[in-house]
Amino acid sequence: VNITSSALAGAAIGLIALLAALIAIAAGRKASRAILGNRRDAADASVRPALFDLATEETDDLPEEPAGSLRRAERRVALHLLERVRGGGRERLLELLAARGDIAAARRRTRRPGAIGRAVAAAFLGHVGSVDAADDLIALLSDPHADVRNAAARALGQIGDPGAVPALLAVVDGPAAASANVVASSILRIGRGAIEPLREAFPTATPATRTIIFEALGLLGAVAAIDDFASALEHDADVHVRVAAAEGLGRIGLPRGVPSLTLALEDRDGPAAVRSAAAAALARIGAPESVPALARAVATGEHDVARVAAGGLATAGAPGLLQLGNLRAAPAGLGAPYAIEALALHHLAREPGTELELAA
Amino acid sequence: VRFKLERTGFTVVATADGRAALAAAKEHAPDLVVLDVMMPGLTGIEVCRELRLDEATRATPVILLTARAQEADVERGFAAGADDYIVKPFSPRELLSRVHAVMARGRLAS
Repeated sequence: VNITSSALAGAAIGLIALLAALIAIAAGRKASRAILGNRRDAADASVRPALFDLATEETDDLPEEPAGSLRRAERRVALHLLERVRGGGRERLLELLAARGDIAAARRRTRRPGAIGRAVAAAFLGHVGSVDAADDLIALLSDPHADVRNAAARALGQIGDPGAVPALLAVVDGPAAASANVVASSILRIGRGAIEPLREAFPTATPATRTIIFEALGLLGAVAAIDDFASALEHDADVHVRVAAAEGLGRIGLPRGVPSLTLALEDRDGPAAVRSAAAAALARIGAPESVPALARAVATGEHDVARVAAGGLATAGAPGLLQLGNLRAAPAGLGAPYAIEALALHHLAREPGTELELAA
Repeated sequence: VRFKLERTGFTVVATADGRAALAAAKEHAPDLVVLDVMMPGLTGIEVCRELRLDEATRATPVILLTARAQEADVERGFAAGADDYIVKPFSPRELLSRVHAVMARGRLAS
């Protein structure tokens, strides 16, 4: 009994000692983090006035190069300010980073071992918008690490060079792909300059890439590509591409898209996802000539398509509301519940607080 | 904003949120109010609307600072009575010229 008691007491003392040691370590780490944070804040504060002068164009003269930790603080504060100013102030800050050798060093780091270093270098080059570094970043798109590829794709979007579009599209799928969302965001960030490279890449692109191309073209409002959208909506073998083409036509919003969208909506042998996307696009365009096709789509009672089409009729003005009224008046019809719902929502949106005539 | 305006000779009262901005505007009766659209408490647009409802601040020129993603708010800002807006990130020189222009317009109007 004595042996058991002393063993238990020993274990308890050991446990308490271990706990105390852990608490001491945690407190020590917290204290050292606070000290480091304070030092960092002090370093940032000491370089900030000179960089503020530069960023606000109070002076064109670069400050003297500080040493050691102040040099790191200068880079940190310059990057922070870079995101907040444009015009001459931004140019002066970029001049400073170039003069200090930071941009050249980041470009060298893109080729060094160490994935974290390469990703950080890519992010830095994106922040500074270094057009000269585009080739280094394009090379990083085939990096073995996905995080590095994503950082490079993001940076290419920040730089905004349309010349990077083919390289970005090349990593949409495959064994060494970047995130499709990152690629799409980067292409959108490049802006309307990306439209022509996107169209040129389309004929040889994979289905996943074609989907991204149409999503991007739609969001960029690529009116010049409207025939490409129509052709893909009608003929593409991939459902996702057809859906993206329909959505793109809706986003562009021109009545020129109505005929091909109407065809897709009324193709009863086609995938429901495409018909639903076509109905939504027609609703978005809001052209009067799409009203009969939307009404027929409501009458089918095919849930996803009918619901969207009924919503489209509700936004198509008087002719659409008239069709909804007709559909509602045929209670035995498959489209009646969708017409009632769309009219109720329309009524609610226009006159909130009024009683809904759901029973009609 | 504060750094550039102070360097140019303006006296700046900066606040951390919308409610404090409203209180400061009423207390200091400034020549101009620069409001970030996204502020805790009250948004810049709400503060602008409140300023326009108060007799003492009704005519105070207001500039809104908006991020590119919030550009849709510009219309609401003008509807609330803002005089101008600047999209972030902005050039400090642009800020200064807008401040001078809005203040000059305000002087002409009064």
